Amino acid sequence: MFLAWNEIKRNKLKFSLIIGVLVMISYLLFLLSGLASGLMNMNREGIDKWQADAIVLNKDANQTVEQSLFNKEDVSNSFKDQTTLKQSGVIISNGIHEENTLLFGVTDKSFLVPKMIEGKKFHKDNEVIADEFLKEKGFKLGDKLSLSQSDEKLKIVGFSESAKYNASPVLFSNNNTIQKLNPSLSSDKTNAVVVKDANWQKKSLPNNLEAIKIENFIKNLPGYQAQNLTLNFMIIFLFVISATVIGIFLYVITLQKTNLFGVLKAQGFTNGYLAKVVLSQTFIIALIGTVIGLILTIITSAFLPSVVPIKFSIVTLTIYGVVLIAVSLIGSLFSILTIRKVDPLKAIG
Amino acid sequence: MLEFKNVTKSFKDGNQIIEAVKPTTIKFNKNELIAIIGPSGSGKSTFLTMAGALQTPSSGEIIINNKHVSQMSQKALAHTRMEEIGFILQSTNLVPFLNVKQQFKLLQKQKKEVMSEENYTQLMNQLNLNDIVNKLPSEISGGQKQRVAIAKALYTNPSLILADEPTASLDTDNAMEVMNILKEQTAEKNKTGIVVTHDERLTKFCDRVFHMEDGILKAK
Repeated sequence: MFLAWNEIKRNKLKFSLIIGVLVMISYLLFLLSGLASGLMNMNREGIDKWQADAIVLNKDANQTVEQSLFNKEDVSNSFKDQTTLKQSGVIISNGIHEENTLLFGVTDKSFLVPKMIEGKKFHKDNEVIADEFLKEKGFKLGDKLSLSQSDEKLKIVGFSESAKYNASPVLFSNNNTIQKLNPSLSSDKTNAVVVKDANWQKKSLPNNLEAIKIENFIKNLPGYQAQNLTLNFMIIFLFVISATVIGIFLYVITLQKTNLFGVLKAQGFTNGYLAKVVLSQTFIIALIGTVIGLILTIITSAFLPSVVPIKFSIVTLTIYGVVLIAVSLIGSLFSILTIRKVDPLKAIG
Repeated sequence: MLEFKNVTKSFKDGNQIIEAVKPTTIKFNKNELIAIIGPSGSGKSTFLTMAGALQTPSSGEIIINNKHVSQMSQKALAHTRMEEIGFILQSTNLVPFLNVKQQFKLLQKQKKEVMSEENYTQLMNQLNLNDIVNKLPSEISGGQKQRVAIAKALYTNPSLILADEPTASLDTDNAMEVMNILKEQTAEKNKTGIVVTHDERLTKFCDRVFHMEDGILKAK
């Protein structure tokens, strides 16, 4: 560490350039990871808040709630805790703002409704609870909402915590309200039944229905996997790029120091000691670069508008930071192989 | 103590084999300062690098303080160099980003048993290095660099001091002072010193003088 740190101190410009590259890579990496989490959250936030184990749908609905429709009685009291879910896409407007939303028809005390943050729950037909996202978009308590595909008006009586479902904000109403908008969702029908029961797999269902594990249901939400895979690939490529960039930088620096390494070897410094010098140096610059990248990310996130779907988790950032430092160390292995080949005899002439 | 037993060193040059050091058997004792003189290409440097465990012989045995270095692994050779040998090289070879004080600290970190504080201070005084301890190699003269390199070679308390043209970049006064230090270190500190030089004036400080020509080492 002594040799590694002193070289960095005395060659500030050279090492600042490498650290600068690492800062940019880590900054991009952290922002991408935040974006990946944010987008993932946009899709699954509402579903996660159900804390459910499974969802029952029509077998031929391709795991899509809106395409599924069956008799409530087919699943009556089959599970420990269950609730019906009726869903319909609606475009709402309060005269100023317009938004694509999902209207959920739920029962009074349904566990599908997240925690309230303002107002009250719906008690009458056409009263709705809107999720927090709509509040941020400018919708207010008491707003009368007109709908693009119906003459019915909805009234916001409360706001719940943000509970996006497949990237759409959600309105919660009673079952009568959704039936007015979508007559096929009559009182005996439902799109899905959401289940809280650890032993859900052991329960039998009619042949036309299937129970799907919630995690699998989320994975099959439209666009969810494609989006995640794209961002994860970008993150993986960033790791590979950072290992390569650091590897090249350190390799060039090592080549410049071939003579010095040879002299040190002649004096009795072992390959192991010199490898530790390169590893320590890599660790120091990777740590500094990652920490600066992290600070920049935190500052940036404070200024990003709320519409940007970005969400940071300390655990994920820490893991990515550690992996970035680890891949930088892997990138330095080329330099270590070069050191092994340095002949002290040539270095001392 | 350094001993060569029937040591040879050959190199391949195309289809030719060049014998840089011809069969040599010799023993250098503790408290001795040896001079090896000879023309360029005579095999002096090859002899010195074998003595310094930087390369192994083609045949024969080299023994440094009862350690047979001829068959050692690279790691063991490096360990022997750090523990037993102090090199004073033609080019000064200081670490460019460490100041003079840190050059010694680096050695101290690698080898725990180094020169005592008292001996270190005395050596720094003798070599007139006290005023430049906080300077980088790029901030001192060639002669000062050479003196730092000499101090570094002695700092690890080696039993064998190997010097290749140690006074090449020094003026006469400094050159004589360096030879006095080498003489003192070998005579009083139980070390063996070998100086390879073109400068015949230095031989007067040495206990034995050898001449090397065409790979053959002969007492003068």
